[in-house]
Amino acid sequence: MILSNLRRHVLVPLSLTFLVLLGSFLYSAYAIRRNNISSALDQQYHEAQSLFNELLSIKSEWMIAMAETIINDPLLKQAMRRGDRAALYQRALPYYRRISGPDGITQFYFHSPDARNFLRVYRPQQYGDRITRETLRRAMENHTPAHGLELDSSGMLTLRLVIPWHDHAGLLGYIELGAEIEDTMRKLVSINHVDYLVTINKQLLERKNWEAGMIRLNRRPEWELLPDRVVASHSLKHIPDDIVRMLSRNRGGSFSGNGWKDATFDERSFAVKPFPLVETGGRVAGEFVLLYETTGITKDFYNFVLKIALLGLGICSVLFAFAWRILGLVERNLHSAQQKLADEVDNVNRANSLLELEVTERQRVEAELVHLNDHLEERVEERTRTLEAMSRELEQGRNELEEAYSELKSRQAMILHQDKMASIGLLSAGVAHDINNPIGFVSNNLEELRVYMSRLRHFLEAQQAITQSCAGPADLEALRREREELAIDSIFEDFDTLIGESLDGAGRISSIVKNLRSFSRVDDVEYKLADINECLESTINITHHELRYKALVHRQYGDIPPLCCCPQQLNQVFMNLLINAGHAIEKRGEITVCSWREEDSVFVSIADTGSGIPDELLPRIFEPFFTTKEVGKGTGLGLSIVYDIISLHRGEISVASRVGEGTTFTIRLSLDAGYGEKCDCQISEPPKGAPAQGDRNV
Amino acid sequence: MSEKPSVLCVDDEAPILRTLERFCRNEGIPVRSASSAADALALMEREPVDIVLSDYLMPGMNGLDFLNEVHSRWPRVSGIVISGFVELPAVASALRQGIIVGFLHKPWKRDELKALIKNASERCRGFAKEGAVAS
Repeated sequence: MILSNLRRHVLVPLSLTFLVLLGSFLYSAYAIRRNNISSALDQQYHEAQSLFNELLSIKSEWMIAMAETIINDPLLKQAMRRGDRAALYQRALPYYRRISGPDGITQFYFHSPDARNFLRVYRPQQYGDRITRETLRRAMENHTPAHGLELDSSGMLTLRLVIPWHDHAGLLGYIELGAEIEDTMRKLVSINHVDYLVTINKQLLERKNWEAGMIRLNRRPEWELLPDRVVASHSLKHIPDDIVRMLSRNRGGSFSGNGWKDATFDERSFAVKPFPLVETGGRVAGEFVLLYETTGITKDFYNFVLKIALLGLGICSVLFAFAWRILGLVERNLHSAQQKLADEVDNVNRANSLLELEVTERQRVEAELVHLNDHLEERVEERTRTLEAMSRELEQGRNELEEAYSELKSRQAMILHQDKMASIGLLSAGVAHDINNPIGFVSNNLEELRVYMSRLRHFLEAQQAITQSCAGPADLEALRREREELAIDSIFEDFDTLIGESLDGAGRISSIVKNLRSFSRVDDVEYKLADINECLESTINITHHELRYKALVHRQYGDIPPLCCCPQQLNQVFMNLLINAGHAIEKRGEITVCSWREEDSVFVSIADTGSGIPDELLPRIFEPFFTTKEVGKGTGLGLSIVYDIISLHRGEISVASRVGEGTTFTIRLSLDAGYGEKCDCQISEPPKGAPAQGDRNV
Repeated sequence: MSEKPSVLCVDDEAPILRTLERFCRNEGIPVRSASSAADALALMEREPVDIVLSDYLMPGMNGLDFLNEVHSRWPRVSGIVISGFVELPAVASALRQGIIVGFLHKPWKRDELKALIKNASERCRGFAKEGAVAS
């Protein structure tokens, strides 16, 4: 719809504009070309006119030259003076013959000074008539030669020259020469390639004279051909009707203005223009009509116009097609742009409605904001308080977590350690049974052996006493020698030592097993009344192998009552402290173990003469995994476990140390720690992890 | 005390049993031996015994159960437990109840055993005097 509209709206005026431009262009081209042709014709016309005048002038000069020759002939003068017409004719005739001819002079007059004709050389029988022609009148008036075109009675335009003729006695008369201009016109035609017509006004002619003259010149007189003039001469084969009509329309004068007339005949076209033939007196005798053939020019002109028209039409068509295409493109672009615009408008509408919604929402929120702003300070304060409280809670929670973490760490260490101890316990329970049986009968047999030996010695002594009293000296000497050789006396002396040492060895083995067993029963965590001094002793024995090369252990046990405790755990405490003490001693030192009672508490101290602990490390020694020993030697758990066990017993542990002098750990355990009810028996239950009774062969 | 009380030793390990027999012979104490609780009970049914020394860990019936039965059947017989364990709560409990009169750790000292036997012998003599007075 838009497409066709736009094309119609643009292409119709555009096409009209093209057509107007094309028309203007064609007209301009036509006018210019036509003007060019017209100018060319005008130029030719002027050239023809001036050539015509020039030819007439040349002819006049030639006639003057002829006349000069004639005028100076004395014989002619004499004959004229005498009035001898025959002699004059005789003498003038050779001149006439010489100058007359087709291009030459046709009339030769001698006139008397009173303007009467004395002799017509070309027609000697006619003379004596009065001559009234303008050229003669001018020559008589001015006494100088006069020449000019003049129409004669027969309708011929003749170039005439009248020269005054003098001799020594004065004016003899006048010599007149006349030449027809027909040949001049023919020359003009041959030079300029034009055709012509010469017309003469009828009112200046007499029909009879004119017709006679025409016949004399072998031309067909047609007096009635034109209404007001006659055609005196022409270069055409015949006078075409077209020209006749043209000349007929221009009655009583020349063609209007200087315009050219077109005429077509014999399939040829001509441009026609006349110029007036003026007699020397100023009277217009007729017209010299020039016909220029324009057949070729017209043809060229029409071809030119046709080419221009076709070219213009072609350009217009191309422009039209171009415009059509461009408009099509523009249409399509416009169409899509319009579509986009419509979409945009839709979007904008949607966005507008959204915006309106948002504006409403915004206003509502702003109102809320205003409301909120009013209470903001209050809320900020409230929030700050809440935040502070939360921050405190967080801090507290963090501290609790940290505590829980460190507790977990130490618990883990304890569990680790207790596991280890439990393994040792399990192992040592079996070992104790298996070792105690053989050790039992070994030591008992040794004791029985001692009984046997003592009986044997009694018997031998009794035997010797009897032998001494009843045997001979030689037998006694032999017995004494035998006794010395066999070292019987030293055997008896050594026997007690031997048995004693063997029994002591068996006892030590038994003691080791017992200590190991009593020490390692970690699974026995029950609280019971225990003798702390016994615990200390058993632990010292267990650590004996570790300490014996480094330290001398002093025992200063006080008189202390049984304490409700978990002896196994306390054993572990004592062992860790003793081993640490041993480690603190570099070469050789002393360890003093004390126990005493003070009011309702039992104290145990373990002091060493070791290297001591620097002050800056003292606060950290009970931290789990804190160690100053080289990697792989200590776990860093020992004192941490000590601390935890003492804490579980609701006791206290303190440390005093001096670098280079030694360290003392002091443990306080309360006699009334609040769990006395747990101590329901004096002898503990059998260990759960011990080998089951009755299911083993012993 | 001209007549010594008789002793019955019960242990599943022969060397220990022989050690105990050796001790009794050296001390001039009449001694019998059995390698299990069942054998011991059977022997006691045949012959009177004053003191029973029994190991704790034995196949079949253990020492305490055995002595418990002995105590219930022959209340005047003194029972002594010998054990390789350092501590035995059950033994302690039996001691308190009077089911046994003594407890001996393995390895034991000769003097300890001698003292235990002596105590038990006096107990037997006490029963004998009561019997004599009653008769």
